[in-house]
Amino acid sequence: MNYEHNWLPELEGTVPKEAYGYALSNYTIAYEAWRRGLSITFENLYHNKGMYYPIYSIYNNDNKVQFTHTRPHLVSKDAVDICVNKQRTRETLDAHNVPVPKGRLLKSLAFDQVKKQISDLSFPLVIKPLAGAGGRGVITGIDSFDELMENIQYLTEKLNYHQIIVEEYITGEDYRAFVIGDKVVGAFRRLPPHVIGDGKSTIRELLKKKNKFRVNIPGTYDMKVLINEEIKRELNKQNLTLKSIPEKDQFVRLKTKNNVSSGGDPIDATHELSEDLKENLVKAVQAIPGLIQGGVDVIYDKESGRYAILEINTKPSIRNHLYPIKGNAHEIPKSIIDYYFPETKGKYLSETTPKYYFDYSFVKEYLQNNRLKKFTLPTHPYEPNLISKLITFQSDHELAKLKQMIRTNFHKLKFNGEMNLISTDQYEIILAGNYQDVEQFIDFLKSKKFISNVQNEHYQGGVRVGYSFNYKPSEEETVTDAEGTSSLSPIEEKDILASIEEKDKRIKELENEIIQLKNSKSWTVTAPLRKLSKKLNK
Amino acid sequence: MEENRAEWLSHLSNEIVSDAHGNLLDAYVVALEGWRRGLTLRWHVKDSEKFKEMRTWFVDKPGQLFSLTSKDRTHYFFRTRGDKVTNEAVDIGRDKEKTKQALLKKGVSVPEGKQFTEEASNEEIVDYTSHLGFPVVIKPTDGSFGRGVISNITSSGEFEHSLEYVRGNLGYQDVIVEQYIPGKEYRIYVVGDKVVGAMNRIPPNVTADGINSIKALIEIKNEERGLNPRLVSCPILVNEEVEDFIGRKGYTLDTIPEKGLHVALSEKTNISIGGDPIDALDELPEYVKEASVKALHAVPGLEHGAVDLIVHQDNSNVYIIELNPTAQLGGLLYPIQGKSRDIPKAIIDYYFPETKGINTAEVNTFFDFHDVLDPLQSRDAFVTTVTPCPQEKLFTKKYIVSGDVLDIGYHRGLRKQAFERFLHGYIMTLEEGDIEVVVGGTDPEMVDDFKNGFWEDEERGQVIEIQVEDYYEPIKVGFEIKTDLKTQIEDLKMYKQELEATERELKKAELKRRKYYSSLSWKATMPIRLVGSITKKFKN
Repeated sequence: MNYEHNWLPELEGTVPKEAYGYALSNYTIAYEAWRRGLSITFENLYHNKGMYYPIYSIYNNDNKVQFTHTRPHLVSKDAVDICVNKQRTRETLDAHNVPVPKGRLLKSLAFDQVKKQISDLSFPLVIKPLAGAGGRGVITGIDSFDELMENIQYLTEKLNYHQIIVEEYITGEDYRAFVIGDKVVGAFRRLPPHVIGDGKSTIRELLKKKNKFRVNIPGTYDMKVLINEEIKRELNKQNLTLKSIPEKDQFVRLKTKNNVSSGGDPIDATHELSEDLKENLVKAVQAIPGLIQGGVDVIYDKESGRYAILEINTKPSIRNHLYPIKGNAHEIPKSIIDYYFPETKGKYLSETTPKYYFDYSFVKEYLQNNRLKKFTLPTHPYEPNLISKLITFQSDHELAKLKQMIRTNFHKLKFNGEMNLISTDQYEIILAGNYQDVEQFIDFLKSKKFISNVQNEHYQGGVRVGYSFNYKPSEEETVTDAEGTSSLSPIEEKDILASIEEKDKRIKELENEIIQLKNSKSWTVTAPLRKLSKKLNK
Repeated sequence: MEENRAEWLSHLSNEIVSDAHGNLLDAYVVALEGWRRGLTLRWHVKDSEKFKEMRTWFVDKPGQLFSLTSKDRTHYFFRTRGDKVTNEAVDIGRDKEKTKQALLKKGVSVPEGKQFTEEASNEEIVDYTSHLGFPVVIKPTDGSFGRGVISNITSSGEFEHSLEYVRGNLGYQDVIVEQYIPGKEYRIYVVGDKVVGAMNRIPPNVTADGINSIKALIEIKNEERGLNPRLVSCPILVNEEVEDFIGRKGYTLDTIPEKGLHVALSEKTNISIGGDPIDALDELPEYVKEASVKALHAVPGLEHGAVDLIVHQDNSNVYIIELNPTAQLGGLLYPIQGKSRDIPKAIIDYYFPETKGINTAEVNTFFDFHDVLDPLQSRDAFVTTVTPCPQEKLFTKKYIVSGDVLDIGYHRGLRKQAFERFLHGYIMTLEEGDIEVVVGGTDPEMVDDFKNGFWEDEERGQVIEIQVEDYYEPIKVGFEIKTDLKTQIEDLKMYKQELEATERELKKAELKRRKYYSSLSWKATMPIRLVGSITKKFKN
């Protein structure tokens, strides 16, 4: 893309795919604490009508802080109640002289009553439900009383909201700021969904490229810009089609709405905030008793410097602060952990060790299906003389035996990392361990006749704790088809089929082995395999 | 073998314990009992929390260290042994001489004898033995599984030969020599002041049916042992020693003995080599029970554990042979004859007496042992906490649903429906394209109501017909979508892991074989040669 951005170096290569998207806030906060040697437990509270409800706790000896998404349990229930209720939020802020749009909760929705209640407000107006979330039911730019009544009717009849707030529309852009204690740690605003021309590609091609870019970013991977009527209409307005080729650096707007989930791009806007605004953002959070921290929505006009605070989110996602498409990422996880665990400020185990990170697939595999109630992470490895290496080698040795050999060594030498099968006979091992043990391990690999071409280099990337084996064909590539939805590339499809074929073959082998074992009439050694055959026959 | 049919505990059925092999069985049954009473069950990796201080061994493999937590306290367990048993008691129990001293101090009878270290010469030991008088037993100081134990040695010539064999051939320098006590041997499990289980181990044997040869009878018996969670890994081995033993009675492996005849195949009673555990609690006289309780408490801090003793055949005196603070429970839970004794219940009663009233005999829920241990095995987690056990009996239904119902999204939706109704269970795709859905919950209305959920997601699942059946099998907590590709890959991974484990064992066996095969006499190498013959069969 054509934008410059600086993301956090500690998150480079250390965010597993499973933690992309909404889970990113949980993962990055836990990860920040973990890098300082704190203990972390993830839990499925399994309440709310039995639904999966994740929380996680961070411990430093007796200091325990439990988080629901980005919100610690130290934020009071009252504070949450106030923030959920937009009218109470507004009243509280107003009472503390924090600028809010002029407006009120409609006490009656009858024609005459509404007219009376808005008599001191000037158009254009905005209406929104008292307790809506995520921008649902917010209607802006209402220019006349008739339009107002139409939209009130829409909210009550179509969306079933009966408590409605009306307020004056403020010109400016939407900003979201993260405040903790007395600091504004970061702020972003959103660009509407758009592409930027390169002078050669069509809009469709540019969008394809853009989506490919978005899926590889932890913050936006699950938010592709899908081609739909809305986009076609918007292009039409600009006398463009999907086949048009915009000029180099031309900004082509694709939608009018600009929330990130419909394809809008977050850009860092921390530096755009005036000192006065920052003061009021902090004041806003402090005005709510027991809040401590929050994501403050503000509408702000850079030119005139005017602004009004719209609402405060008690558990805002921080993904857009971490992966802005333009500008600098802000260290929200660091600020959070610094605030609740000040004794660990700046004390990273990870600064003197390889770049460890932890797996996140356990959420799906064990917590979401309610097999496990809690999951306690291994602590961050820490000992002197650790080193990290990327080792590659070739071997046509039987996969199962090779895996077993590597795994045994990992266990014995207390290594962390992974082994990946790149192609039929090409392997890579990413590991971290004591440097002497690593040298010894490399010599061990070189000494095996069934292993050849052992290469190694220093490795700067992330090392997963524990041991895992992955099938990772190198030419893996995801492309988006004409409609912007993902499909398999021919190469990928071939690889998957090959892998399935390989697995089928392996199962055949296993079955044969089972038959042999059965015939051998020996027991001790065969017990697990007898169970296997039972499973395979199912 | 019908006359021998044992009564096992239904809440510890074969299916429930099928994932807990070998020494994992012991930890699993105790953990399961605590979990079913509503205690929080956590599984740990080595050195986690209190395990740093507790005496444990061979715990690299997870599944042996767990903790149970009630409202006000946590107890830690290594296999069957909880933290009420002190480290000092464990150390004494592991040392036969120290055990004996502790017992003697409290006036408990033990066979007279003496321990010799490697400094002692053979002459010195022979000299001692002739003063002790025959018959005697010789055994290694720290042997286990009956290895190197030679009993009923009746003459000094025989003794010298045996001593040479144990110290020389087997390489056990530290040995114990003691009186041989003829009589019936019992393993008794004591918790606090109560004997809660007792068994008698009898040597490998078969009962003739008048049709099959001894060899065929052994195979039949091994099939049966395969269905016993404790004995599945301990078949009767057919080898030279067995042939030699039955040969003395004039049999060969091909002999077809007369119907009803019991044929003993060895004189060793170890379960691991094919011996039978026989429940003996009801026949045990009160004074023997008292003696076992007294023996256990002779070691301070040994609050529960196993007592091995012999009741002398002539004077009925009780002689204590060994105390085991970390005893296996398999034989007591899954005897070949008699009643299964609920030792896990007794242990949990002892640690958490406030939960005594909760009867788990009817509970038909368990947890997936693989899911609980895998993250510990791969070191993705230090501690895993199992989803709490529903505190009442589950009502379970099986639904077979036909139609266009294979969409994974539909299945996920059903899982959501199950969780909303507090149900546990699974979805599995059947070959014909139907799905089998098993759901269980404590509220039967919720279980029945689940049926409506099938029709509620027409976009992703078009149902034509639903068959309902009652379902009586136990079910696991949580909800598994077995059709998930991910689940299938997980399964495959598990199969491969098992194969790897098998291959590893094979490798070990091969190594051992190479080391010992040629150098030792047949008696010494018997078990190893057996492994060797298995290896050969592998290669074919």
